[in-house]
Amino acid sequence: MSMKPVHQRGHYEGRDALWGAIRELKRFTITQVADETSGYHRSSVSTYIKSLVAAGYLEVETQVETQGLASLLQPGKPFEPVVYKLVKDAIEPPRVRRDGTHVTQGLGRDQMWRVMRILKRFILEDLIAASNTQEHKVSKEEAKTYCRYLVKAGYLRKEGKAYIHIRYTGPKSPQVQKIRQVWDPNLKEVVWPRRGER
Amino acid sequence: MENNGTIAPLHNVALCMKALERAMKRPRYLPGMVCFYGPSGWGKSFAACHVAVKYKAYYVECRSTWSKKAILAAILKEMGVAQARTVYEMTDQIIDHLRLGGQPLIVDEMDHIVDKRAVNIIRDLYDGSGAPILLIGEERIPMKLKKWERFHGRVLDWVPAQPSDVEDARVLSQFYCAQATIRDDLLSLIVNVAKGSVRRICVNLARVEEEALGMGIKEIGLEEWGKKTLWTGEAPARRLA
Repeated sequence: MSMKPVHQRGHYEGRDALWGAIRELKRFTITQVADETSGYHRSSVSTYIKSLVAAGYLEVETQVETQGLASLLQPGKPFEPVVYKLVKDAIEPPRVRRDGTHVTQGLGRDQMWRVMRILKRFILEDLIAASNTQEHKVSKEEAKTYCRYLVKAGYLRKEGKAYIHIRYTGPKSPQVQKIRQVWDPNLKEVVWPRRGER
Repeated sequence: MENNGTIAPLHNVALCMKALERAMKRPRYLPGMVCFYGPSGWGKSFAACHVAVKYKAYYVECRSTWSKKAILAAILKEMGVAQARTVYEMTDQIIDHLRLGGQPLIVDEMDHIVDKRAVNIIRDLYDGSGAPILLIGEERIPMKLKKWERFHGRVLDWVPAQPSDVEDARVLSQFYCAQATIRDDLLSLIVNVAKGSVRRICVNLARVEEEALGMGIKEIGLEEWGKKTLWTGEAPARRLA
C-alpha cells in the first residue's frame, strides 16, 4: 500500500510527534517517548530512535557502556531500560533511515524556504544562486514550481519579476503535495486550495 | 570544479564562510564570535544567506525598533520554539537549543541593536551556549562595539567584506546571464559601474543577457554592447538643452 498524502494520515504528526517528545524530554527511554506520544506502536518508536542513534542525533546512556553487558544479566538485579540522550538538535524531525543516512527528498524545498525568509525580496535567479550548495542543488524548474505554488497559497507576492515573502509561518517549509495542494507543516493544515479556489 | 553551480567562490561568500568555520572549529579556549562587516550593498547578507543555508544556521535580521525581548522572540521563532513568558526564561530556551543543536547563530544588521544597548543579550547567549555566532554589520561596527569591552573581547575575528570584482561577476554570470557569454572588457565595465554592489552587477548581467538574446548572439563584449547604458543605481543626471 502506498503512503497516504500527509494531510490524510491518521497520526499525521508521525515522526514529528516523536521528535517533539524527544526534544522535550532530552533524556528518555523508549517507553517514555511512547507514553508521551500515546498511540504509537513501541516498535515504530524504537525504529526511529535507533535510526537517530545511527545518525548521531542520540546517544545511548546506560550502564552497558560503563560496566559491560554482564552487569545487566546479573541474577537478582532489576531490569534497567536503556536511556537515550539527545546530543544533536534540529528543528525538523531528522529524516533518517535505519542505517543513519539521511533522506534527501525535500532538501531543496527546505533550502529555498530558508533563503526566501532571509532575502525577503528576490527574483528566481537570486533564489537559485543563494539556495544551491555543494551538497544539494535546486533546478530552475523546481524553484519556479515552488514559487508558483507559494504565490497561490499566499506566502509570496509577485511584483513583476520579483517575489516578496509576505507570510512566515515557521521554520518548516510548506510542501507541495502530489495531489496539487499546499500543506503547511507549521500550521498542520492545507493552506491551498481553500474552498472553491484552484 | 566542485563549487560549480554555487556562489561559494564569491569573495564575500568565501570570507564569510571561512570566518564562521573558524568559529565552529575553534579550540575551546578561543572566543567563538566572528564579525563580518562592510558597506551596505556589498552582498554581506547575500553571502550570509548562503552560509546560513549551508550550515543550517539560525538567522535573524535585527530591526531598529527591536527591544531585547523582541530579539529573543525572533530567535525563538526562527528555532521553531514556542516562547516562554519572561526574558530570562527565553534566554535559557535559546541557550538550551544552541548548546544542543550545534548550529551557529547569525545576527544580521547588528548595528541596530548596538545602538539600542541590547548587545549584552547576544553576549549572554554566547556565554551560556558557547555556540559559534556570526555578527554582520556596517563599516563602523568594530568601532561601535569597542565601547562594549567585554563583548569586544569575545570576538575571534573581524572580517571586512570586499567589493565585487571581475571574478565575482563571472561567478554571478552563471546565474544571471546563463544564456550568453560576456567578454572580459564588458564584464570590467559592469564591475566598474557597480562600485562594489552585487545587486547592480546582477541587474546589469541580466540586462546584457537580454540584449544578447535580442541580437541573436551567444557572446557579447564592448564592441557589440556599444554605447547602451548600464544601470548605475543613481538618479539620471539632469540634461539641459
